[in-house]
Amino acid sequence: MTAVSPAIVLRGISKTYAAKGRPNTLALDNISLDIAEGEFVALVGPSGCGKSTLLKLISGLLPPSNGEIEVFKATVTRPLPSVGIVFQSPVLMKWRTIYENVILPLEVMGTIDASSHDRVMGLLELAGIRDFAQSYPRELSGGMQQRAAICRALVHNPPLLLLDEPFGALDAMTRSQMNMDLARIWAQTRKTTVLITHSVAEAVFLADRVVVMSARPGRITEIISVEIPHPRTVDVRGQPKFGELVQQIGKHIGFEFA
Amino acid sequence: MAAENKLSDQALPTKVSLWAGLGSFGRGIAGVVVVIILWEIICRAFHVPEFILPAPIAIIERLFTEWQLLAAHTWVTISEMVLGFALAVIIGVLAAILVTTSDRIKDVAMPLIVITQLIPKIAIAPVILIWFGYGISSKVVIAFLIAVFPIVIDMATGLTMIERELIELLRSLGASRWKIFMKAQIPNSLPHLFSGMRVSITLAMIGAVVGEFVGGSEGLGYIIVVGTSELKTALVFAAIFVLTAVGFLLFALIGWVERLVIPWSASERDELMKITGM
Repeated sequence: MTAVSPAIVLRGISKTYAAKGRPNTLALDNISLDIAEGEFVALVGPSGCGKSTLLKLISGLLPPSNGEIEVFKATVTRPLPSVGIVFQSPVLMKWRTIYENVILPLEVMGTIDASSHDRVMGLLELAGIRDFAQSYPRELSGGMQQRAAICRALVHNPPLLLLDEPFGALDAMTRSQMNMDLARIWAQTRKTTVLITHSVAEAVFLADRVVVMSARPGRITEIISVEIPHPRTVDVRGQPKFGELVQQIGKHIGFEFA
Repeated sequence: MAAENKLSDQALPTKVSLWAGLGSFGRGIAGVVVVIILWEIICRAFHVPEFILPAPIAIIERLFTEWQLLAAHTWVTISEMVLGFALAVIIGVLAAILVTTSDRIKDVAMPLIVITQLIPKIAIAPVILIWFGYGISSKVVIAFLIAVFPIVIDMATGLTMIERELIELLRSLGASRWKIFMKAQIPNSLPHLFSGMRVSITLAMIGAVVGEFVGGSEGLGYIIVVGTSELKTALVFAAIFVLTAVGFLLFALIGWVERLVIPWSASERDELMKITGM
């Protein structure tokens, strides 16, 4: 990655959850990380290492207990509309068609204009679900619903994309296909992206840097650069370098898996 | 035609395929018809006196001969039911919104709502007649009191049982509480509201009829009380038949409105229909 101004700056972030009748839980401990504009960063780590919390802090949905978060040079103090979020489940409104779901951010932000229709249809086309614009979510498979969720995250053209285990609920084949599609969509949009995943292979396949976190309290234990050029296609998985990186990161997490 | 022949070649013995050919709805009707025929046979075979158990044909006869009387009283009962039900929906929905919007209101109101529900309505029906008179309004109030609870509970469930991530997504887009309420909570609650309404309408009928039992001079409940005291059992059964038919029609009407208002929820409703056998 060339040296560009950081899109996200995390400085000494800690997050403590207070729970009634139990000692406070330290979810994140002293996290510092810079993410460059246009960079794709993957966060991997065991369950409960505070990855999702970190994403909520970046999006401004939660305030940090300590430390400072800057997104595009502004301190985050409230929820940011400049982010697109994709969750593990598609979280589509079942009473809206796919089209109506994807246009939702524009509607909420009050920015629907003459170009909105083309924008939505263009994204649906990009995600390969254009034919389902007028279908209801229940008529689509899990993978297609998640594609719609990705379209919705992109529709207001946010400079920042936050993906919280977006493919965690999909079967292996769909997941692999979604990885290719995300790589393709990302290559076209080049948005600053933070991806949370449990799959090291997914992290290596998609990201410029893989950030490894430890179990609770979440700390950054390792940052590994993935120097494989974009756009990445299915061939990447066959490269020796890919396998090496997956093994290396797997060891950092503390178990072998590819 | 060729395909048809092939199918019938493979078909199981004729008896079974006739049974299968009826479909689940047809089989349901067949069951009802068999019970009615057995009923008729038993009444005739054992010479059961009409004032104890009138035969189906006698009841149908009474439906025709007394239709004017029945129609007038049916109208009264339907009015009580529908008004009580409408009140239950309006007040139930508002109560659910209040209870789910503010924890303070919830803390105060929930015990009151539950206690109100725990009071046996039949026990307080006479008091309600004292308060609201022997006319239609006391029956409307009783119908309302019985019918409101499932509306409050189901609506409150629908307003709160919503994916946390969806609320987070809307918040991240800068949606106000009002927008989240209108765009997410209200539509999310509609399937729950309709299932509450289906329970509520049958309860409203019970409320109206109980009110008529306790006092008054109108309605199918009144016909049942007077008919019983005069041993006009066939008329009583005719009134019960009309009540059942009215309940069924209003229940079906809610299903029909639901299909119009929330077509996106069709699959869930169909599942429910399968369970309840509707």
